[in-house]
Amino acid sequence: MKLASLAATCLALALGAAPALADTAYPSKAVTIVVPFSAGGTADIIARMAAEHLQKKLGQPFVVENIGGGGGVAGVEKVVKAAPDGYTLALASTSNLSVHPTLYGAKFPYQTLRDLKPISQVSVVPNILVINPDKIPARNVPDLIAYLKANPDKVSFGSSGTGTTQHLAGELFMQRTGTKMVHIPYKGSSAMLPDLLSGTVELSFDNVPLLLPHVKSGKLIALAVATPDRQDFDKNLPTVAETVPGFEATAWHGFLAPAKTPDAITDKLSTEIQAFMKQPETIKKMQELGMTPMATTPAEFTDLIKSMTVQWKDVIEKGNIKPN
Amino acid sequence: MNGKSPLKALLSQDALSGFMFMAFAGGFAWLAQDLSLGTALRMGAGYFPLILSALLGLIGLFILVRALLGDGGEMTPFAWRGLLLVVASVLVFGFGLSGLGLGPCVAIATVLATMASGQVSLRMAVVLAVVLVIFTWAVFILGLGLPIALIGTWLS
Amino acid sequence: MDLISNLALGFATSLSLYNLFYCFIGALFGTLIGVLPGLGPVATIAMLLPITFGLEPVSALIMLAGIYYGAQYGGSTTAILINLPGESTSVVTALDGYQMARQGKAGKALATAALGSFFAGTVTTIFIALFAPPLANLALQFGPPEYFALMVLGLIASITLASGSLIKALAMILLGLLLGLVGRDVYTTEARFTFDLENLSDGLQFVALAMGVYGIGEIVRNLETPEQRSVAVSKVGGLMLSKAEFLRITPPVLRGTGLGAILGILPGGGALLSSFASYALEKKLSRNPAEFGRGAIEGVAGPESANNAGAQSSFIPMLTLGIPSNPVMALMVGALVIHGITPGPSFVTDKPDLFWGLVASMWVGNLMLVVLNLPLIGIWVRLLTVPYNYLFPAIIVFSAIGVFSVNNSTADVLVMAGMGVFGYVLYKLNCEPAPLLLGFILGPMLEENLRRSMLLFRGDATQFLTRPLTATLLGIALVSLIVVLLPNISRKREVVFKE
Repeated sequence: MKLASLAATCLALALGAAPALADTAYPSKAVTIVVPFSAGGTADIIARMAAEHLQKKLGQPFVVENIGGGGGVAGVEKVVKAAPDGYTLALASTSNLSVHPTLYGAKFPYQTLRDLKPISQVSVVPNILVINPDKIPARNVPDLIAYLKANPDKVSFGSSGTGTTQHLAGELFMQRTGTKMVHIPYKGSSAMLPDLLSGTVELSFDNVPLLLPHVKSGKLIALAVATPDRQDFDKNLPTVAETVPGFEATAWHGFLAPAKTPDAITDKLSTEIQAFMKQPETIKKMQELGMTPMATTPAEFTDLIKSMTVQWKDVIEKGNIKPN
Repeated sequence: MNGKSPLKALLSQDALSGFMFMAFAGGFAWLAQDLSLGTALRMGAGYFPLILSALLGLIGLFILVRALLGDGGEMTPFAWRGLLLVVASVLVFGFGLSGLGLGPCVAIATVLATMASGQVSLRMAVVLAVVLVIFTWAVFILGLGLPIALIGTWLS
Repeated sequence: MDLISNLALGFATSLSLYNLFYCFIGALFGTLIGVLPGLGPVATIAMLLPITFGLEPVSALIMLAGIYYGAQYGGSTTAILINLPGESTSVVTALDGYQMARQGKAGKALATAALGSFFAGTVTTIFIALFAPPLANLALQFGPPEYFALMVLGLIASITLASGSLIKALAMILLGLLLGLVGRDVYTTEARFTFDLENLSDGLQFVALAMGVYGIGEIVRNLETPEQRSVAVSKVGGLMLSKAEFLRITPPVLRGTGLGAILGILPGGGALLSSFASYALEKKLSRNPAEFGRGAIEGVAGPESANNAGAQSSFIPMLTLGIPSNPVMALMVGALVIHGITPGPSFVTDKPDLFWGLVASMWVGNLMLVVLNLPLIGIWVRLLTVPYNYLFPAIIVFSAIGVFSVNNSTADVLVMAGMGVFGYVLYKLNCEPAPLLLGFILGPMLEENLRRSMLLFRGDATQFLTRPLTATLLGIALVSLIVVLLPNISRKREVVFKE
């Protein structure tokens, strides 16, 4: 039955037929996509692009609602509490899904996989490891590790905030390599950037779009990318994993629905979203934004959330990052 | 200025300000107890608030003592009716915006607010409410597309 | 002359009919939405951002810049007319602007703001065109210790925002600093003073606080005295400034422009400080500082010029380093990124038409604002002749919706209600709220930079004094504290004597 409807959906799509199918009337009214960040950020842009596509294909308005605040907790919480009817969706990121529930402990208002149902992962935002070349002599990852081992606690690494993937990437790096640096958190990456450029902090893991112009101008040097594989924007840039096996510290985004939403609805949405993410224009746009487009099934997205939750939980506990 | 009653000095503007500052200082310090203190190198979440609370408490005490010794400024009566009704009309939005929707919220809040002055007839209050409902609907929902319903979930 | 050809390129871009149109639309919508209480530039741009997705990058940026100036100016309008500062910078404008409005000089206050802003905008445009790339490096001279010192200086300057008791102003600053710390700690992620409410984990919202303390508090205060409130102000007066007034505002405008242009370059809160700094400076230099807080035209002219100059020069770090210095800039960077352009060191050379087009459109946008607003002032001022009993319910309704719209959060509206009560209590206790607000804004930055400095110094506080720039700023702060406190003690006696 489920398969049949899925097949029918695909067929209808392939033929460009009207999306209203006999067995699922969804959607019959406007759908809200909650973005737990303010307007204008990468998550917001993805949500708006996807909303436009879904609206066209499914015939009902898809409205993006930005609920910033609380590092995104307020927005996700709204979706967790919404009726599981497919009319309230979330576009959330790594920190919302795989970090906050662990980091903020027992009083936290949701547990990702208990309260939410993954639909599709749509992006990976690669973090790159950059250094200020005036302050750190190393020009590759092995040299950096040797330098850090010879100078424990001398290097300061900046991050966009405690508990962000940028911070946890640094913690993971220290834990895996047995090195010691001092973590300096900022309120967001752009607050950290001036201090990185001036050498006040010497090293950082952060997003490609923010750092790339400064790498190009030579003010900063990129040593490696924190994804499992080399990335398209620079195939010559090695991965951290080539030196530190298994190292992965990226941010990603994906769509989710409240936990009890029927499979028929989430599968339908997942199919549509995957189709959208595979369109050439989408891929081009995503790359312009410095992201790698992804199109995964609900099961694949669930696995990602699970494995990343385990990894970051381990890092948070070992690094003693948890607030009391 | 001399020879005023101690109670009057205690209820002067400055004396009450002193009490207020000390109360805030105490409240913040009390809440900061649960936070990590850290060291000067690695300050915890409670370090800075505790210093500020201590300073605020001291200045509050100074203001209080100065008020008791000199002229602290006389209190004037509170406009209770205005305060309660104005705040109530804001609270209508705070509690009812999603449930009641924009229309009913604007209408109720407007009528409550006009009652605060006690100089507007009910008829004019209703007229003003209707005008404001239409205006806010046109500007905020139609024009700016804020995610609020005109009629909320409790009523539909 | 490179500059001339560059500016020619810029004007060729920005004066195309198409871009002129978007500049006008931006300035118009910015003003109209900015006049709605609570809807400042950030909310306005966030709402209109999707529209710009479909535009050419130059036009998108020009329109966003128009909205930015427009909304900023619109915010000053509500601050002057009804004491509702929707932006941190208009807190200062409200101090004397609103007093002028109450004396029937609202038109003059608004005209002063418009002319001061225009002058500052023109000068800063030239400033940016000449010096943008070298100035960017100035921003990098400021590390956490320098920002800490600058914030200390700013706090000391803010004592002068009070026209009454200095010791109470000091207490209000401390209370503001504490209120500013509500929310999750950046360093340890511990929730501070939030009572376990997730809604508070990002802290109290500035707009909710400012509109509660000022706007709602002011309404209740007006309800105390029925005889004064038949209309908001008894007479509205003309908007033309006399020759004497022109002479009075000229030095503050010049000084404000200078302060704003320089401080605006610092991405970590420089533009924000400029209007406060200008107010403090004007009050200090004035021959009768007692007039400040009671409708001194210099108290509007200086800060408004500083504010606009700062708003403009805060484009420098964004365009040359890709560092947005405020949420509005962050949204603009977002808009550029959508078009596949990342602002950064090579922006000027890679996209000269965009860079110079934007610089030129800054001036065009400012011109448009003046042209647009001088006639509008007449309409705004007429608003005040609406009987107050009908006006204030409308203010409440708009404020509540405006505060809600910032984060789509009803919790913020509840905060505004609470702050309204607090604001009224402060009035009853004769505590002036402006220093509280500045403390609130600077609190988190002060603490962040102090803790960051201590981490970077690895706990060695003496390094504050061994860094020349930090030591200088702290030294100026100390001198200012003495200068602020000493003569005021003697002057205060005089004032008391007079009354």
